[in-house]
Amino acid sequence: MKSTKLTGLKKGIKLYEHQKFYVKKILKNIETTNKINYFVSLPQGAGKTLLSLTILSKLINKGRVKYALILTPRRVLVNQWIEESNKFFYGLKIMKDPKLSKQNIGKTRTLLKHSQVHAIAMTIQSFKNYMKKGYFRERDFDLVIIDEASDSTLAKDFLEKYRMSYYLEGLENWKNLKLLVFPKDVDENKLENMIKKFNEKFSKLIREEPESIDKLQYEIKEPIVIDDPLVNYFTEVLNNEYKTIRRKVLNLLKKLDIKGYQENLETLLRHKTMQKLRKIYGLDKETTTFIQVLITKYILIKHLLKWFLYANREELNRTLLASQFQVKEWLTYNDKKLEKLKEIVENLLNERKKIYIYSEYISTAEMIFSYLKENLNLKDEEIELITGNVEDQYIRLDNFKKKGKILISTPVFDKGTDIPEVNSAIIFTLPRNIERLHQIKGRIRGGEIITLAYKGYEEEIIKQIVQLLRD
Amino acid sequence: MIKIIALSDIYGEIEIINELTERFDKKFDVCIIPGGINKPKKDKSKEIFEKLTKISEKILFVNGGTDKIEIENTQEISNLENNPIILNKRRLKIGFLGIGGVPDRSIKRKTEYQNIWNETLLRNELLRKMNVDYNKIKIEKPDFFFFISHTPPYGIADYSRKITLNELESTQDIEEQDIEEKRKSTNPLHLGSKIIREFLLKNKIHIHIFGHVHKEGGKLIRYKDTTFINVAHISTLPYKLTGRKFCIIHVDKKNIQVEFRNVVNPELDLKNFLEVYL
Repeated sequence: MKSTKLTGLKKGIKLYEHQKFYVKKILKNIETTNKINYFVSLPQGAGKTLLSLTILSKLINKGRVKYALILTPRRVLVNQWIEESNKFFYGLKIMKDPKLSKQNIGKTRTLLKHSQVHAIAMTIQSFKNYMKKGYFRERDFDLVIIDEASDSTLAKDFLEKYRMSYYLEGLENWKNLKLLVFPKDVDENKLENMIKKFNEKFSKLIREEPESIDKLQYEIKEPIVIDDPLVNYFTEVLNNEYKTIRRKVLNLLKKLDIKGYQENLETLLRHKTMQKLRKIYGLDKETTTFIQVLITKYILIKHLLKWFLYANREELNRTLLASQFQVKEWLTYNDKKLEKLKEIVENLLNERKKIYIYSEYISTAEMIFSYLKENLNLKDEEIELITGNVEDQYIRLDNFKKKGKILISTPVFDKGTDIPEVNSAIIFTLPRNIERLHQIKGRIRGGEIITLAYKGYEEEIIKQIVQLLRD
Repeated sequence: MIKIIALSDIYGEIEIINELTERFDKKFDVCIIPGGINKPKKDKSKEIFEKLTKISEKILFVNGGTDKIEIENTQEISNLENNPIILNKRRLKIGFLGIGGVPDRSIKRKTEYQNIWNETLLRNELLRKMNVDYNKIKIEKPDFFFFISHTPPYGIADYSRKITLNELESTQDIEEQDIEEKRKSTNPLHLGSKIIREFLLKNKIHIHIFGHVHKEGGKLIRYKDTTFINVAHISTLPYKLTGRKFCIIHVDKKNIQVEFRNVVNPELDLKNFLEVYL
């Protein structure tokens, strides 16, 4: 008897060859092996969401999956999953995190059971809360899809090396089918450890670079260097101080024969860690407090360094440094990096380009937003700001795609979110790590990448970043 | 013109008060202290007031979360709680009123504090107290109304993790508040009082001076007809970076000027400055 398809790709929508290949491969594995955890690591542009949704759709048709759970690290991605399912599939119903639609969670669970909904998509934070309250259980779902799984699933921990993330703890023991999706550039060690956590025996890794994926064309511009002698001086002093104090802590640990903390000194600020050290090494309270005071000091210096580089005048103005004569002078004139950014943006707008500006900090992103809006006389719909502080992230993203000219965002808006409309990405502040750097690049589907740096300290780092991006 | 100095969250640090008073030989007309005078259960208020009277003719204060100062009001030193005051000087009339304590939901460890209230239980009583005080000075038709409290109004310069006096936790707070990724694990909140906000929205207050939320210290916000000033904190801890702060306010018939300053030696070069103050 011919079975009726409940869901499938809409008319005219076709998968790429590589997508067809992986869908087939994974489904075959599910049918013929005892593997339940599928780790899918493919390059940006491979269409991982569409691939995952196709697998979900086929499993629903086969009767293998009745209810699925889709977990994402960010709210904005929840909407993206729903948008893609509506756009490409018929009959595939995904419910948004009830918290976002402000429905009653109790009703939601009943609704999931008795309605035609095939999946529920939510952030990992919501998932943690619901699990804590006992709203969902392992048996409620037949398939769990974890998007951008590397950061969501595993956290680096100094003591344990790698541990399950706070949000998904326990999920590794679930016996239902799991599809963990992440980009190709995920750290090898992390991937290995993730598979170990989920039990290698029941896990399958698919990590490939299919030839059929079109290589995206990026133009990584030479860094734009801004010369501000005062910033050069501040960063030099702060960087030297930072290194000196850090060295002091390391020497002290060496003298006390304390091993294993060199790479992660900040761990020593934890009360429990220090208690442990006191016990093991017989340290007195005075010594441990001294170590903590030194660490605190270099953390503060590190922050000041960033605030100078990231043009964070509002924060600096509220510190006691605002009274120091050189800083006071610096605070009297406009930030040169911000002025340069305005000039670049103005030129790009004249070339009718759509611009994405990345900032590591919320306050910096907010400052860029206000400064550009005011100084370039932009209308509300021409410039959008997306940070963890704003509620309507997806609406803003949609507005930008439709009418916007400039999008300013922090890491809240990095992994998995596509903005193919953008022609130019500007990195205003240094990303925290290489993985994040690739994520910024991955947001746009080709185009130019512009970096800005103050002369000296920041210039050196940004040059390395540019090289990494080119490689 | 009336010259006012405002400082809060001293936490019994006599040394910083010494450093401050050494800087000013001239007297201010009023010194406003919106609480946080003592460390929990260690009353150093007498000594602090004595030193501050050297630079200010009058001291007007309210108790903070860590204070329980009970003194007899004098010409020089007054607790503004239940005791609104009119300053009539140089053809300028300023009405001062205030309220002490902090909402219990704004602090991390209740044991650190001795002057806390529950907003739900005490709403009517606190509102009544503030309205009575306001109406008392309103009769005098002052040019300006100054409202002093330890806690900020809800939603204004009050966004932080719950307040703690522990320096190391506070450093972590700076770190975590800034980095987007870590924000999700910190949960900062609006810690201000909803009752004070309600009172301020219904009455005409020109200046509201408060402290308590250390992380937001140094913020000056103009909302509707009121200027809100978070003067936290003059103590060197819990935030070394934002501590040593005070505020000078010049008031004349037409204008109110506000300026934040720090108790530091501004002439030191950056390296030495960091060494001395961080």
